[in-house]
Parts: sequence; structure tokens; C-alpha cells
Amino acid sequence: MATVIDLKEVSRIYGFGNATTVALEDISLGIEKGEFVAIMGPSGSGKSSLLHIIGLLDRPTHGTYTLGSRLVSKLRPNRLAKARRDHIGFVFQSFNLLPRLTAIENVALPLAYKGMTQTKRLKQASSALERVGLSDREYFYPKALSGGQAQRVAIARALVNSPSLIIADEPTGNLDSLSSRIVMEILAELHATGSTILMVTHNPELTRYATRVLYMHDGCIIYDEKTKLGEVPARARSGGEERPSSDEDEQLAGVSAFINAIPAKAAPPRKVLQPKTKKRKRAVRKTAKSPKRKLRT
Amino acid sequence: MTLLLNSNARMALQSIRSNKLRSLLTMVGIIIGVSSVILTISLGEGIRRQVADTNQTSNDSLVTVRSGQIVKRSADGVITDVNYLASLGVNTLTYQDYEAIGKLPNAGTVVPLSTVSGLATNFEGESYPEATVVATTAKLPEIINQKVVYGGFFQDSTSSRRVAIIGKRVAEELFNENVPLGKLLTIRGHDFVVGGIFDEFKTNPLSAVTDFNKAIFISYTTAQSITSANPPIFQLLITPKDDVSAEQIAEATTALLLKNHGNQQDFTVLKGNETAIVARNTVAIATSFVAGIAAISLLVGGIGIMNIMFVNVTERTREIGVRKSLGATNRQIYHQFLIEAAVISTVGGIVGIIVALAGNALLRITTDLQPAVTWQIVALAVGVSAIVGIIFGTIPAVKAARKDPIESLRYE
Ligand SMILES: Nc1ncnc2c1ncn2[C@@H]1O[C@H](COP(=O)(O)OP(=O)(O)OP(=O)(O)O)[C@@H](O)[C@H]1O
Ligand SMILES: [Mg+2]
Repeated sequence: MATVIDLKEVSRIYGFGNATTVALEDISLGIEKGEFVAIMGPSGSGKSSLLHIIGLLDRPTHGTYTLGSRLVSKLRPNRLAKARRDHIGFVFQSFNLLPRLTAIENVALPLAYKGMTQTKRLKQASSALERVGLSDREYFYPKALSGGQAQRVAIARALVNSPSLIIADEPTGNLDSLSSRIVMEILAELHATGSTILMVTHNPELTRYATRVLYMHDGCIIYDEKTKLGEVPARARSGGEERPSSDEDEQLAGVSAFINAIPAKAAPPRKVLQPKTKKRKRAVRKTAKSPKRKLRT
Repeated sequence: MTLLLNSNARMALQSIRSNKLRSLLTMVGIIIGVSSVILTISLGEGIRRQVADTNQTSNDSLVTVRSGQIVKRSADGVITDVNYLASLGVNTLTYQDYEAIGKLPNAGTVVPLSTVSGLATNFEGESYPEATVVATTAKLPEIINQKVVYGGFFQDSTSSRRVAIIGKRVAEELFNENVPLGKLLTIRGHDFVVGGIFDEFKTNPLSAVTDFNKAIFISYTTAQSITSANPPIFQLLITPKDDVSAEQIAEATTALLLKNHGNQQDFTVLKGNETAIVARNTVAIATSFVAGIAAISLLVGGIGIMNIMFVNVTERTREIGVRKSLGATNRQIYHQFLIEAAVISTVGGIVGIIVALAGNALLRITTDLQPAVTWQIVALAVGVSAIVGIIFGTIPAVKAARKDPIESLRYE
């Protein structure tokens, strides 16, 4: 299979001077066409940062990124926007539907930016909504949709342009287990029809839909494993705890013991049903970050 | 591109509707600006047409002398510049001038027009403050070609009898009847008998100092006796003798007045249609002056739009992030906000036009003014308001386009 996403020693550093955060550190990663990659890891480990770079919303601070045959660092913002429009579909944890547009208008938006006629747009949007089973909600405004329905509209919007790559950042993060399952089944179906899918999740159970699982920690991919569809790897259940120890860890034995404890806390093997609240996430992020900063400076 | 323009415009209208009060407040500046510009221009246009109408009925051989230098002429006598303000508050023509012109060999009829200060009251002591008392001589109706429909104008021999001839509006307002012949009115404590009522004067608000429909005419001799002075003259009307042209009498008058005024050109001699030129020019100057002031409120309206668009861009940061993630280019985001500003402004302009038309209708009903709206004015107003939106929407739209997609997506 052809490698469609190729990252070489990619870093992403936020901020200037003393206040810098290394969100991604020398990441090298190749993803092939048709893979379903689940990305796991504690809060603040750089999962979203990685997806933003792969999704062309952000650029690496260092390193090279090749998407298809194009070297992304050479592309101008205009070309990046068009590449997002034509090749990439985004699904966010918070749905991000535009509140003033109806479901079908939301879905048709990427087509509008392509310059397609109104009738064609609505027709295509309508069939995308049909694919996610929401034909009867076309003219609903987002506030009249349930969370699960809103996320399905968002998925319809991501797939309306038949992108080759779907990027989903915690797509089930705000959904209950039933809605999560429906959303995952739709993603699985897209995968079955040949789309490449990248998905961040905190729910180990959902890795059963993936063909590959990445575990991130502190801006690094600490584990990368191919899995069979329908299986949940043991490492996923334990939140990627079996990380290989390094020399550095041994040298800083006391501190690293503390850090090692964090991932287990930050991403506990959640029950499938448990909805994740934002507050809790933030609290976790703080504890995860502070020792890291101390270490780096 | 046109497709996007279309859907952007539709979305802009949607966002105007979804936030009605704010949109209205944003538009108020534009509405006031556009409506006042249209009102002043259409008023000016209406007055210009009325002046032109009046001119058609006026006497071509009539020569008019006014106080103050209100026109400049080129060497061959063509009017190059009009400054009506120069005549306000100056009374340089005197009774001596009137008498001197009357003695010119070429002069036919000479009629002075003079205002007498003072309030006219009816027999019950009620007054009509808008009325002006004009002192003149018996030949006035003849020289301005205006009929006295009831009664008659005073003759010089009857001038000591204290007769007043009144305009139509004075009859209605001061006496509450159309034909108050023989009724008494009081000016400066002196009683006058209404001896005649003028036919309605075609309104011509700016060509004369007063609206003759609201004037009370008394003889100049009477005015001299009740004021114990020679009331200053604001205007002299002259017709030449039969075989003399208007040019000749105008030249002779100018030469005479220059001599009597110590070579000071503090008066203006106008012949025939030149009065209309002066009036038209004056209206045009006044109109553009007021329209200029009104245009400033368009500027203020534009700044209001800019302000609200900045708020809009900030409020919709997340939307911008989402749109960018879906593949909107910076240019497309820029156009979206620019079109929204232009739509708000244009809708404001259209509302402004409606307000102006309503104002015009009101003026037609309640006054003698006949404001005239041409389609050019309306098209101009719509165009200008759209341009105001585009000019003042540019900076907020640039701000929106430059937003970073990731930070916008994180924005709460
Ligand atoms: N705009 C930014 N400015 C500064 N630091 C940032 C910015 N965005 C992210 N970071 C930092 O980069 C690190 C990685 O953030 P990222 O959002 O990628 O984590 P994540 O793995 O997606 O976490 P979560 O599971 O909570 O979504 C964090 O330490 C975060 O604080
Ligand atoms: Mg994240």
C-alpha cells in the first residue's frame, strides 16, 4: 500500500522564549492509504497538535510533512485551504456545526467553497445525510438536534466531498454509548469503502474499529501497534502503560516514577458509557503538565 | 465566485434578520445619512423646477435691482458666479435711488419693494407672525403681472386712506375667510382697511425675500408716514419705455447707481431670465451645502458599521475556524464579511430612501414645497451606501480572513 502521510522528525513548539511548550517532539510517522488509526494518550500529550498538522490546519515548527506527493511546507495558505476542502474531512468533539445554518446547509458548506451550484450542492448534501441516516432532519437547526444527531451531521459534512482522509478528534467525546456506537459504525463503514481515518479517542473499547493504535506521551509516539479489526489490544485497556523505559527515566528515577503514574491516572481505562466532561479534562491537564515543564527548563 | 456571492449575501441577510435590533441600530447612521441626503437633494430639485415654472410666466423685459452684490460677471456681462448670501442683511438701495431711476429718460415704470417691520393684527388683536408688511407703489400688480381677484390695488391718490392689499394666505390665516374685504387690520398701531386680495402667487420661495402670499402690501407713502422715515428698499422693479430694450435700461441703471453709490458695486442689476439663473444657482449652492453636511452622517454611519463588524468578527471567531477547516480560503472569508457589511449598508440605504420618500410626501402635504425625486438620486443613494459598507467593512474583513484556524477553533 502507498504511504499517503509521511512525517519526518516533525516538532511543534508553541510560544516564545521561556514560555515555550513542546507539543510534538521529533515525530516520524508513515500512514498508508486505507488505514484506520486510533490515537490514544493522556491529555496534553499532543494528539490534537498532531492531527492539526496532518490536517493542514497547522504547520510543523521543524521537520517535513509529505501528504500524497506534495511537500506541505512548500504550499501556500491558499493551496492548503483547497487541499483541506478537497481531500480532508474534519470531525470535532464539539461538533462545530454553524448554528445559523440548517443541517443540510451545514453539510453543503464545503461544496459551496468549491463553487458548486446550489441545486447540486443540496442534492449531494442530502445524499450525505442519508448515509448517516438523517434524511428526516435536513431542515433542522443544530440546536434542535441531539448530540448524536449533531455529530452525524458533522460526519456527513466531513464526507460530503468524498475526502480520502477523515480526521476525527475525540468524535465520541461528548456522546453516550449508543450514539458513540452509531458514530463509530459510520466511521467503520467509511473505512470499509477505502477512506483513511485518523481518530483520537480516550475510550479503549473504540480501538476495536482501528487497524492501528498509536500511544502518545509528552509529544512523542511511545507505542505504535497494528491490530486486527474487532480486537482491543491489551495495551489500549491499560492506557499504553507498558511504555519502554529509557536511560533518562532511570537517571531521574524519583521524578519519572511520578510521571509514570500520571498517564494511568489521566487516561484511566474508562467504562464505555462514561461521558467525559470538559472540567475534569482540564484539571487533569494541569497535573499532567506542571512536572513536565519543570523537567524541560 | 458569483455562486458564493449569492450565498454570502443570503447568509448576510439571514444574520441581519437573526439579530434585528442590533442590525437596526447599526443601520441608523446610514438611514439618517441617506434619507437626509435624498431629502435635501430632492427639495433642491423641487425648488429648481418651481423656479423654472415661475420664470416662464414672468416678464422678459423686467429689470430687477437688488441690494448687495450677488453675482459676478465676466467682461461681456455673463454671470459667472452667484453668492446669494451677499444680499442677506444688507439694504443698500435707498428712496433716493428709486427717485433717481424714475427720472431716467429710458425708464417706464419703476416700483420699489420695501419691508416694514412690525406685526399685523386683526380687529380681535390676533396676529399672523409669518406675515410681512411690504411697502410698494400702485404699479406693482401691473409690473409683476399679478391679478387682484377681489377688490383692487391702491391707487396713488388713495394712498393716504391706509388701504392694505393682502396675499391669499393672509386672508385665510388672519381673517379666517377668503374675501375679508373692508375688514380692519392694525400695523404699528395704525388701522388699515383691506382693499383687495391678490390672486395666489406661484410659490417661489427663494427668488424673493418674502412669500407674497403671506405679504400685506401698503403704499410706500403710508409706510413713510407710519415709520417717519424712508424704509430701506430690498428690491426695485423696472420696465423700460416702449422702444427701449431691457439691456439699455439695465446699463443706464447700473451707471446711475454706481455714480450715486460712490462707485461701490453694492447692488445687483438683473434682467429678464437672469433672476431665474440666480435663483437656480442659489438653490444649487444651498442644496450642495446641506447635502454635504448630510453626507457627513453617512461617514458616521460607515464607522458604525465598521464597529459592529469588528464585534461580529470576534463573536464569530469559532465560525471562521470551522469554515477554514472546511476549506474556505482567506479570500473567501474576506468576501463573506465584506459582503455582509455591504448588505447591511445597502439595506440601510434602501430604508433611508423609504424614509426620505415618506418625508417628501409629508412635505408635499403640509407645505407648498414640491420635492422631486429622480431615479438618479435613488440609484446614487443605493450605490453610495453599498460603497460605504465596502469601504468600512474592509478592515474587519481582513481581520477575519487573517485569523489562525487553530486558535479560532479553540475560541469559546
Ligand atoms: N496554542 C497553544 N499555545 C501554547 N500551548 C499549546 C497550544 N496548543 C496546545 N498547546 C500545548 O501543547 C500540548 C499538547 O496539546 P494538545 O492539545 O495537542 O493535547 P491533546 O493530546 O490533544 O490533549 P487532550 O486529550 O486534552 O485534547 C499541551 O501541553 C498544550 O498545553
Ligand atoms: Mg485534544
